[in-house]
Amino acid sequence: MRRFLVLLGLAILIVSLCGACAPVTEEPTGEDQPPAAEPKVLVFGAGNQPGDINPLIGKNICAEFIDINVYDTLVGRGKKVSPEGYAMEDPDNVIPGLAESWDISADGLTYTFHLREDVRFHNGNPFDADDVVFTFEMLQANGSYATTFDELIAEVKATGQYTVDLTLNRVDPQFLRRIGTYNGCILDKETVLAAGSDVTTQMEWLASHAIGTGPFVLGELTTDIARLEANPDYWAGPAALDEVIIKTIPEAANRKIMLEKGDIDIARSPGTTDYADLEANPDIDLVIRPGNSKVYYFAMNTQYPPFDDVRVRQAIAHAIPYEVLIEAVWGGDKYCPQAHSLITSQFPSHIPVYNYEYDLDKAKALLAEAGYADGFDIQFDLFDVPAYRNCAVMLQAELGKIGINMEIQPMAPPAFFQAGDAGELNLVVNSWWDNSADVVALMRKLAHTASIPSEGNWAQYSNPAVDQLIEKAEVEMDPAVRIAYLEAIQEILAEDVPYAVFGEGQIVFAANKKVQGYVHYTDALFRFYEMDIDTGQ
Amino acid sequence: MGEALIGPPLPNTKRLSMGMVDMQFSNYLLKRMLLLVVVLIGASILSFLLVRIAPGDPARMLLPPQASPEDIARMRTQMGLDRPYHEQYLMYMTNLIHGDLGFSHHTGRPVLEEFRMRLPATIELSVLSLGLATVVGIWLGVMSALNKDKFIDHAARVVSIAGISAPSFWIGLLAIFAFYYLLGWAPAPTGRVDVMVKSVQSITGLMLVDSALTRNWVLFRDALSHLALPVLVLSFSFLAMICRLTRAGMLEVMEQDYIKFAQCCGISRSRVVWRYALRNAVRPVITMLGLFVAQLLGGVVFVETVFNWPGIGRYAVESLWYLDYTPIQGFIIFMAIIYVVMNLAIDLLYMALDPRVQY
Repeated sequence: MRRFLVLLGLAILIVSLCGACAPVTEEPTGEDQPPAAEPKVLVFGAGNQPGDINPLIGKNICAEFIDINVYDTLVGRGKKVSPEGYAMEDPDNVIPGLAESWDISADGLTYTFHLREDVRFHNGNPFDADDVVFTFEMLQANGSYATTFDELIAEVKATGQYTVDLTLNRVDPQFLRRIGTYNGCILDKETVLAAGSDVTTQMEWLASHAIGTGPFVLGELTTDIARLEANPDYWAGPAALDEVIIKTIPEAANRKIMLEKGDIDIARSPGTTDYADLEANPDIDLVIRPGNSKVYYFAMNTQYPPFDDVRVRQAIAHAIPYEVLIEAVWGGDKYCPQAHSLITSQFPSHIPVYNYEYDLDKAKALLAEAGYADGFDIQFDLFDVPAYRNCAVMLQAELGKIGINMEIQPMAPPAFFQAGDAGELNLVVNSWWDNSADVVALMRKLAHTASIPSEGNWAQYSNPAVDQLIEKAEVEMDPAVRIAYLEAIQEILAEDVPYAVFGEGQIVFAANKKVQGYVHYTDALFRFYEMDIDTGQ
Repeated sequence: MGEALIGPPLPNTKRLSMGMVDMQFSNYLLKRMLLLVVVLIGASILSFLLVRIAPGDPARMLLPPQASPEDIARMRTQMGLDRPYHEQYLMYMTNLIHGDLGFSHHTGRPVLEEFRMRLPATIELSVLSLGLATVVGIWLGVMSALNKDKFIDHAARVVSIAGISAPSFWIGLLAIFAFYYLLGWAPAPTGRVDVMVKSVQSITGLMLVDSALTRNWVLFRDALSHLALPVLVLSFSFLAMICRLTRAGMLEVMEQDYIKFAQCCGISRSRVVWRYALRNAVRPVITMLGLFVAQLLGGVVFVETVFNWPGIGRYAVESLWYLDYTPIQGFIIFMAIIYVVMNLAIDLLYMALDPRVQY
């Protein structure tokens, strides 16, 4: 018995160690690879799994990566070179996608799209106006932004086999950019309808299948891997890459070492403590780009004391240790520049009006003026992720110095959102952004009375002057006038400070230097069609 | 002859007819099966109520933060959450009886399919880890007991304390850093197989079994190499506990009179230790093994996250994060089944090991 146990144990140990010593580079497919050209495969390390890849929903960014490459949109986003020399989106330029050209009526309400002919979906079905109409109808009825699109779009109809007339309810200067991202992915009407007789079944099918017209075909999709194979019949010519593998690697530390070893080519969201190491590595590029309007702030509930008094809010703004906070949480200004307005600095409408400096004496004086010379107790509702937790702890320390006793209440996401929707959040740290980098929409969500409490205005800020300015900016087609409105809004918000802004969120990822062609779009999505790997040989 | 004299006299089961013993035993099994059904119904009601009492709105969690209240309301209707509780429960139970565990909204797949995809990964990891931990742990425990306070006892104690105290994810990260990054012995922590391997024909879902059945030895080696590190890391803590328990049990048993008597009778030491003493000492280990199996099958979230293992533990935690009702309910029911079955298995194992135990 003993001998048997010993031998069995040794056997298991030996076998597993032998297995552990299997050479990493061996190709375990067991099939003969054609010795000629090595397929160009890009391995992308994502932090979460794709999950539900329905483009109407836009579940998470990993799903959106898949959608934007497997489907096509009617229009794409133009490119230009930034002053710093990198390729980025040109917000004033929209390029043809599935729509070869389009006309906009004089009143700005009707768009007539002339669609490309001879385009086929991955399963061979032809693409035509019916698919576009179907997609927009689904968007209005079932997407996660259904209400927005429903309010915006009056009617979509096919006026020819390859022409679509789309009429809006109001003028929207950002409309073409809005449909140039994952929400505007054109579905194949036939395939979706064949998937089920009712909407629920169709949406369930869309959650794990994707038949589009895009440059990549969705191959295997499992719990932690998505394989995108180049579409050889793509209407704009096949992609430079042969295959893109999107692999879910939840641990940031693992993404970093796998990138360094060359097992993956791109690592998304490296841990902030790894930035320095990655930058120092000669084979790796740490890519830092301005976030898509992402701004970090402390939000204060303006409906209840003590935050109903602007002086208290200003006191808090003076108590935030801006530089130290950014240094501690992100590693420095380079990775998260200090914010000087709710609108981040890459936008032409940005004005650096928010100039509260870390000054505890001023903070104490303001508190005394407001009648809180002895301080007060406040509960901080924490959306429990490490970065926010660190921010909360630092604020707690500073507020303690001016007599405010801050208690941190950690909350799981569902509880946090529930409290937010009920208008019960007191003091929180959060970030916001707009997917189309539409700063007017950002203002609407954060500062308009109609967005209280569950549409994003957790500070429950209500100011009729601001409401009016936002409404005017939403329908203004002249960019210069729009900028004037936005500047006025920023000035009021800086004075009233319902949001104490402190950081401009950046898009950071690390890539092997041989990866080329990355263009920085405001929706932060990788369009693999434009990318390539320099194999050197 | 020596065996019959060890321990108190056995009850004379031969007096009862074989038929009666069988009937007694099958009655026992039947009772346990009925109990399983009762437990399942209770678990389903409890899990159904608990998730609905938890704060938060699952529809809210599925949509981006910028979604409007109307969109959230529409999602709730789509998910069937606006119906009264008893209607929802009835719908759920009807589907359950037909084998439909519902749709997992945050992954976009039916819950049953998610379980089918993830459970084999967890089973493979669990069986190998526990197997290794049991074999090495028992051996180490016996050796420690026999050589009390000698070097091997001290060494085993150090290993045990390390295994019980050190958190598994930390050991995992260290192991990856040492064996993959620094030494290059272990493959990249990409999960069960290498990234370049396309999906393979899945018969049981267990990589080792499937690749052996299809004679795909290259895949077998790849799967084994990916299993090595997580199995070693996971088995470490269980090994520690099994070792301590075995040692304690053995120390007590070796002092017993019947052991001394057996040795006096001239039975070889090896036989005394492994055939008599261990059998008596191992009962608490069996109990713990049952609990360990249940714990492992429930998924070990930390190891799964660190090694990117697509198991059931990570899925359960993600479902909690998104407040995705159907997988949470499914998971609770699944765990209830596992625990009831494991308890029955332990009781049967007692019966096999100890002739004094009868039901």
